[in-house]
Amino acid sequence: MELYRIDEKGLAEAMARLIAEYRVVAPVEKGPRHVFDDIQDWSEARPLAVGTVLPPKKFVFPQRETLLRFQLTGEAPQAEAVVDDTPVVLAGVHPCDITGLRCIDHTLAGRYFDEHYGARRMNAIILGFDCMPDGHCFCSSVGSLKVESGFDLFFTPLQVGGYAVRVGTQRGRKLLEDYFTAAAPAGVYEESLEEDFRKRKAAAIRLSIDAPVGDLPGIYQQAMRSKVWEKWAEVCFSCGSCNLVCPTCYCFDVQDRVSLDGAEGRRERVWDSCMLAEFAEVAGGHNFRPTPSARLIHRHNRKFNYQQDRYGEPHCTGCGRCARACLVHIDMVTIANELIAEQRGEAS
Amino acid sequence: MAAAAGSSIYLPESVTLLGVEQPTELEKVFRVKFDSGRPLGHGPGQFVQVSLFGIGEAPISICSSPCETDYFEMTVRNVGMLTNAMHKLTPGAKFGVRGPFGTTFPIDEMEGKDLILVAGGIGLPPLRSLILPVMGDRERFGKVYILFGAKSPKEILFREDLAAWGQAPNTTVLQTVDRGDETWGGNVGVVTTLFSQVQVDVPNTYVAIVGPPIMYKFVIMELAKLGVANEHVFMSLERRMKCGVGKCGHCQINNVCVCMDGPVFRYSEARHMTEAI
Repeated sequence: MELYRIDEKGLAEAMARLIAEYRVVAPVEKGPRHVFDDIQDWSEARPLAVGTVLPPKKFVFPQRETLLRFQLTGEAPQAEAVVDDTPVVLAGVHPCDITGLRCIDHTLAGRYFDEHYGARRMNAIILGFDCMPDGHCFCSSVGSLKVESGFDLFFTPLQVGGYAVRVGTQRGRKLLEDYFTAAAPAGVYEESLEEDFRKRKAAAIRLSIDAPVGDLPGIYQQAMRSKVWEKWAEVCFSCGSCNLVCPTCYCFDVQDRVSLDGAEGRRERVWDSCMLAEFAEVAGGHNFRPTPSARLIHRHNRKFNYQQDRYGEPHCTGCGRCARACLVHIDMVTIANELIAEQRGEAS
Repeated sequence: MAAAAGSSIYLPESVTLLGVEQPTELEKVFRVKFDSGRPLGHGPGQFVQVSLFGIGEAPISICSSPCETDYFEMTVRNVGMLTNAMHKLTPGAKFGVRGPFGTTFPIDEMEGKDLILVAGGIGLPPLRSLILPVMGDRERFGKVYILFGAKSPKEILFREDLAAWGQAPNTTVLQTVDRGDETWGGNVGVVTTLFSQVQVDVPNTYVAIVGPPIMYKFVIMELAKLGVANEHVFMSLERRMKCGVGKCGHCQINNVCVCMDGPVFRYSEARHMTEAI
C-alpha cells in the first residue's frame, strides 16, 4: 500500500480545498463530548477525538431517510424512489468505525442491494484517522485495532509531528494528487513510526475480552440459557440507547408520512432498536421476544455470534459507545468475560 | 446530484384489485393482478409486501396456486393498520406489491411421497398455495392428509376447497374446531387430536405445517410419535417484517432472516434455532 507523509499545515491546506468543493464532516466539540458534524474550517475538526456520540454511520444511513415519494391524487397512487448520491467527505473516521461501515455493507449492500444506502455509501469519501483509546475502547479484542481497507486515505499521527498517509483506493490516490499536494512519498522510517503509534495505542487499551474473537460464536451459542443474561436483564431498561449509538446496528422501521392536505407523502425509514419491547411483535399482538433477557441475548449474539457466523466477522468493533451510553453500565466486555468465565468454570 | 429519482428495492409495483370475497367475519380474500401484466411467479409458501401509500406495508402470504398466472390471491385478516385499510378496498382499487419473497415448500422433493399438510386458522391460506398444485397434479403424490383446525366453525376458511379436496382420490381432509356450535357435528379439539386418524407410509412421508406459534411444537411432538424424519418436515414461520429483503432486522431468528432464509424452514434446520418455535 502506498505510503506518504504530510505535515499539519499541508493537511489543513488540503482540507480547505476539499471544504471549498465538498460537504465535509468531522468530529467537532459539542459540550463535553464530540459529534460528527459539518465543518467550514479544518480548525473546527478534532480528527483524533475518541467516542463521538454517534458513529459516522449516520451520513450513509441517516436516522430518518426518505425512501419513496408518493402522490395520492389522481386515479392511482404514483411513487418514485429517492436516492441521494451527494458526495460527502467523512474525515476523522477511526478504525472501529471503518470496520462498522464494512459490517453494515454485508447486509445492506449484499443480497438485494439497497440503492439508498449504496448511493450514499459509494459517495462517502472516507478519510480515516488513527486514534488513542479511552477507557471504554477494546478494538484490539475484536480485530479492529488496525484496518487494511475501507478508507480512501488513512492518516496516522506521528510522534515527530505530521501524519503518515496510506492510500486505500484509486479515488484516494486521485484525492491525494489533487488536494493533498504537500504529501511526500514516505518509506520505512514512517512505517516504523506508524507501527510505533499502534503499539502505544494497543498498550493504552485497558479492556479486553478473555477469549480469541473466533471462539466467541461458539461461546455465545452455548450460553443461550446462561444466568448471566438474567442478571443483566434485571437492570436493563430496554431503552435501546446501545442500538442508537452502535456503528454496526442497521435495523429500521418504515413509516409513511402524509401531507396535511392528504395529496402527497413520503415513505421513510427510521432507525429501530431490537431492545425495544415491541420490536418482534406481530399484528395480532404475539411478541416473539417478549422479555428483556430475550432481547439482550439477541442483541449480544448479533454482535458476537449470529452475524459473525453469517458474514465471517464480529459485528462489534470495540468502539465502546454502547457502554458509554448505557444508563446502567452494561457493557459488552463484562458480559463476554462473564460468559467465558462461566464456561471455563464448568469445563474445569 | 441530491435526492435523484432512481430504482429501489423498496419501490412497489402497481396492482389492481379484481375481486374481494369475505369468507369469515375477520378475513377477506383479495384477487389482484399486476398492472404490467406480469405474473407474480411465486412458489408455494412465498409472500409479498403489500403497500398502501400513506398507510404502510405489511407481509402477506399468497394463497393462490403458483400455476395460476392470470392473477394471485391473498387472504387477509383485519388485525392491523394496513390490513384494516385493505379491508376497505373495493374492486378496481390500485395499490402496491413487492415480491414474491422467501423460500418455498419443496414440492418437487415431495413428489411420490405421502403428505400430511397441517394448518391452523389463518395458516390455511399459505398452505393452500401448496395444496392447490398438489391437488392439481394429484397422481404425482401418494396419500394426502389435510389436517385443519379452526377456533370455531365460523372461522373456517376455504370451505368449498376443503370439501372438494376431500372428494379427491386417496385424499383425506380432517377438520376440527376448538369450540363447536349448534351447526358443528365434527371433531372438537386441537389439531393434534386428528393425528390418530392418519395412516401413512412413514419413511416416505413429507409434512408441511402452517399455523399459530403455539401449534408447531405440539404438531412436532405428534410427528415424532409417528416417526417422521425431521428432514421431511417443513414449517412456515411468521415474524414481524418491514422490508422483506433481509435488511430491516425485525424477522431475524438467530443468524437467519425469516423473510429471506424462510419463511419456509426444514425442521431439521429450524430445530437448532433457539427462538424458532
